[in-house]
Amino acid sequence: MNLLVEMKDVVKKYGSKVTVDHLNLTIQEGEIFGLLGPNGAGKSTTIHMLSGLLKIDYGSIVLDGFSVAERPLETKRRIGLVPQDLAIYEEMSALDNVMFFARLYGLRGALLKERVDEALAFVGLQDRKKDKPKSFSGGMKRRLNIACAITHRPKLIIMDEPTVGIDPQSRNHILESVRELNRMGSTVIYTSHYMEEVAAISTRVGIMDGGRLIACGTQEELRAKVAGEEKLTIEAQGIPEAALEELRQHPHMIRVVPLEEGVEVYLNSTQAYLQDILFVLSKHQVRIRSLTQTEPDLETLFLSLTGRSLRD
Amino acid sequence: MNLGTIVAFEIRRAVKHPVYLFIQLILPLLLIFILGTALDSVFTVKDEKLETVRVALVRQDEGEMGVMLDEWLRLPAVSDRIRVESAASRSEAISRLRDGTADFALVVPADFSASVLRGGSAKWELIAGGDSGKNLAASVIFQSMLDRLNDRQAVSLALGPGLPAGQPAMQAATPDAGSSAGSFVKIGQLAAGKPYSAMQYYAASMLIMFLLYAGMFTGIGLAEEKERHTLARLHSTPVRPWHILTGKLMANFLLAVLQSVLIIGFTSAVMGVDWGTSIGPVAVACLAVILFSIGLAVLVLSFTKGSGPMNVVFQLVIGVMTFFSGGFFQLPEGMLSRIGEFTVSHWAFQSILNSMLGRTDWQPVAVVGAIAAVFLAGSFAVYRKAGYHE
Repeated sequence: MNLLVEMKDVVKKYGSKVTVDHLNLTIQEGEIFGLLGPNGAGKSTTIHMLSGLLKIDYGSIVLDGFSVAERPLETKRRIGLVPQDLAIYEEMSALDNVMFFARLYGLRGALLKERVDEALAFVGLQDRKKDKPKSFSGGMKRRLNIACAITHRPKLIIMDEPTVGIDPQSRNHILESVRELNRMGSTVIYTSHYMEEVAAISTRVGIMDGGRLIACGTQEELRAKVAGEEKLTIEAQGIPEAALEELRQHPHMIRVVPLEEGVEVYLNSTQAYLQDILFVLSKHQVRIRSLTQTEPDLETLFLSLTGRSLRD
Repeated sequence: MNLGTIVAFEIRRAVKHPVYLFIQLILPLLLIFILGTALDSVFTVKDEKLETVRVALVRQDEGEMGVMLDEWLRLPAVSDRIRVESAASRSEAISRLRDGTADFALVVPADFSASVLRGGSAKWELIAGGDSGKNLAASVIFQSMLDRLNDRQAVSLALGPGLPAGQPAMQAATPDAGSSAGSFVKIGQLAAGKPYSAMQYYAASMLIMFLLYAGMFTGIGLAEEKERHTLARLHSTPVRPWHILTGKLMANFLLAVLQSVLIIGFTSAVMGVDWGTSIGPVAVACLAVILFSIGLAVLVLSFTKGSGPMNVVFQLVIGVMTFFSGGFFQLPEGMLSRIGEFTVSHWAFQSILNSMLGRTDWQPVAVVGAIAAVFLAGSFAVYRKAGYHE
């Protein structure tokens, strides 16, 4: 695979606040690269610098051999940006929207028409192409937002939290679209703070926090970093603080994360110490509704690296 | 190529917006028609023909002054304006005024001549009828007679009662007795020269006002694109940043030019507004106002955030400038109109009115052009801040 994106020591500051802190990252052609991190981690700033919307304060970004800072038009031609916020003209039809952006990427004539039809069909809006987005559901608007970014068949598609605020059906449609676009030859960078989404589609994942890339690799590689941990999710109501404290004192306990209705406990082996856990909870008269044991995942890794949940 | 794409898309967006079309095209034409028609009489200066006033004369004085009065009433300039009909008494005169057979009444008391020649106080009684116009005409005419009598009294007091009264003294006071009425009333034409009509006045002022709105729509459009994130998306496409802003400004400029042409054409063809024979100053004034308003929009956008502040600033600026330039109604000479000279609307308005009146005066055109150039230069200086998405 060829190197498509190379970020070297990239820094972005707003006043004294460092939003992206010496970021080094490479993305190969054909990847679906998931960029995971909580809100404010620096994901959007990173992709805005990559797509030429923000100036880089320090370091360099090279896309397909072109420097983003020095050859912005060349790099922008290779990118299709699906912004986090809907960026469509509500008063114009879906067709007008897609056609306008396609023209800005240089498409004309029969090719323009063909690609626009293709993009609208891809996102399932061919039947509604003459309607204005005002009349669309949130999910349909999100799909139109995608269509506007893919008509020129970009080498790199950047999707910045494309599923925010939509129903599960549209969400699945979008995730399937990402896979399909990747199969058609585009490299995809997909940012989200939903671990499940990133885990479902990404071939490689980068985890950001506080402007820094704290982990990067395939999902297997990342999971291996927390291989010694197992998670036990206990669903119960009103677990007293004394019980949580006693769990924390267990000699093999790695972490205790209280939930709204229950608790997550991280141990080297949940099977080996299950009796101990249940004993503590029954001593404090906690009525358990369910117990689930899970393998370590990206959430576990994030927690392990930062001590915080992705949703914090 | 992309510049053209942006211009064409902006124009399509604007014309698909019913509010935009109504405000920029229908509303100015409606206002021109309503104001031009309703206020036509305020602007129209025309000569009125005076009607003859029927005066009921109660002459109880048989003295020298009564003779003077008779002679004076026979003068052609006076007899053309008033027709005297004798009445026996004051009550009869009032009765005639009431039944409409007289328009005005004059009562000369019995001791009038004696009192005047004695140098004492003497009074006529003027009784007004129901028509204010005729009352005014009769009052003015009889006042002129009273002025003569005052002159006569002054001569009598100075030279003594022995001096032959009447003509010589009269002539001494008013050398040209034959045209004496003419010496009091100078007949001229109020409607001399070529005045502008209310329709012309409001066509010019509304055109300028609504061209200023072109800038407001430009500014609001750009602010909304920032709010709706479409501006950021445009900046992610392979289009030069200055092409994006220029494309949007150019589209609004072209729309405003089209708006000017349509307003001028429609008012000229349908409402009969005469824009003058030389369209040059009108065209320059319109272009300058458009460029000024677009320049102002860019400047405002660089200092404010969002479409709300843009709306407020522009409404205020347009309202104030139109008021002080006399765009809503003619302002009296003085402080208000002096303030108007500090507005672009005033100079554009003067340029267009001059053209309508066939006057050749390029000073207002030069001033409005200079103001537009300054604002345009200012907008170039700050355009990055206004047109960028961050």
